[in-house]
Amino acid sequence: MSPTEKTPDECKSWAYWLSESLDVQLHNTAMGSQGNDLIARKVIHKVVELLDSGVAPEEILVGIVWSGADRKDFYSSEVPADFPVNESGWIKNPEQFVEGDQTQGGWVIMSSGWMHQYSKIWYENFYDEVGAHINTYERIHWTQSYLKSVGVQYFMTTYMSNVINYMNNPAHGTPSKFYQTCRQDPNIQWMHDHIDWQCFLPVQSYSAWCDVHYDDFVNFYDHPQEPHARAFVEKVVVPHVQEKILQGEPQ
Amino acid sequence: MTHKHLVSGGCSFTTTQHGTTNWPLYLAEQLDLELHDCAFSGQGNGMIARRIIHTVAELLKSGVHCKEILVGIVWSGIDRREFFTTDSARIESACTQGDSWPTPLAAESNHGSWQMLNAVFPSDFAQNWYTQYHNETESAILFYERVHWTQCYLKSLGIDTFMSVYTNYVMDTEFDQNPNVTWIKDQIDRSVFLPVRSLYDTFEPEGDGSIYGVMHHPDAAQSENFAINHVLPFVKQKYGV
Repeated sequence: MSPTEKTPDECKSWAYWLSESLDVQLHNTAMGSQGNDLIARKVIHKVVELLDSGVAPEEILVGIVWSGADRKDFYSSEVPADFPVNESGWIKNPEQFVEGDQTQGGWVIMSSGWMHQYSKIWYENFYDEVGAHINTYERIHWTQSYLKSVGVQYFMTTYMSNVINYMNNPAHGTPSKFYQTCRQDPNIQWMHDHIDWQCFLPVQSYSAWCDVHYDDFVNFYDHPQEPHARAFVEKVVVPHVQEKILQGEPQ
Repeated sequence: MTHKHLVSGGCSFTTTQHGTTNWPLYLAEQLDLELHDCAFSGQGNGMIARRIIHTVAELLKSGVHCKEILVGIVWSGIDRREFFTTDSARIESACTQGDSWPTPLAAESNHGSWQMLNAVFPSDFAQNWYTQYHNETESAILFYERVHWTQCYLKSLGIDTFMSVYTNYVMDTEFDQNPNVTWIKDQIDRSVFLPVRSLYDTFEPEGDGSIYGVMHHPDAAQSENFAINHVLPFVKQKYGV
């Protein structure tokens, strides 16, 4: 998602500043507008690639800022010629992420504010708010289960506090109305209880943290800029990584 | 520690609901295990994975030890999908047109349900999906992602597992050559798969089953044969049962 992404024309994201701070090589799979299906898929693919190249699991640290639960993607074998192109180049849609992919297909990203035909039909016919949150929980669970199975350390948070609400810890804030509704629904609750919340940064969300600490930042509207990203890394991410991961505390 | 519980998942080739005599009954009897069958007719692999993980989670929550659980899955058609919905009008509309009625994952839930999609369902809802979004490459990718999710979860808990597929079409597909499929396919642990091409192959050696539409299902004798002559030797050898 965009607060994580770093492109030459955009500001340096938290991922850049963390790699600088820890003096590690950055492999950034983030991209503006992508949803949690693609985030999970691309992170797992990158870790697989690194492990296959001989990198040891303990040499890898994974950091994920989960995106909007309402975002969706699907793989299309043949993308129509008239598919709208993002002219600014900020995102690729459809997206390809497997190296050497010579196919004509790609992952078509859909967002509720976009009105290309795939997006429109999806949100009118198949989208459900609760279903979207279940999907996000499942993608987080898949990613965590995989990283645990290969012994790779990780930390996570969300870009905004409406993505998922992990506020089972009162220190993280007041639960939203939607969250309270979801907590009554066993379809979500059981999966919520299976998420490893210990790996989540001790903030409500990246955006909420910026909102609290910067007068010029508006939650649910602004994207973090370089000063926000750098401070977030220094004050939140690095202390968490040092305490929970580098000192070997179990997650 | 010896197994005490068999958690089985799959579609109509596996379900024991409504008196259906499928392979889990015979395996549970042979191994003297308590059966927790979460297979449903017509469900796809997303639902199979979700129900397996949910059933295992419930058992663990009730105090059952990981090593007391044996999980067996026969994966279903990769073209099948499901969507969670809280929109009762959407469900009503699809089901009155002939689709199957949805079932909630959690029995006590009245908040919403998983609505199944199958290529042979007649509703506008189903046809809209298969016309606009369905393609075999994505179906293969999502299938392997679901298998990978389930395997990672079960492995992280150290739970003994075996798997197979219902027909030959599930894993013997030409779109597997697409690099978007192969990278995730390569992450699947093949060592837990039974040494058969599919369940269908054990009783119809000349056939492949059908990727879309109705096919022959195993009868009681064929299900018993699968459990005793294909699953049991594999489980005995791999897990020392």
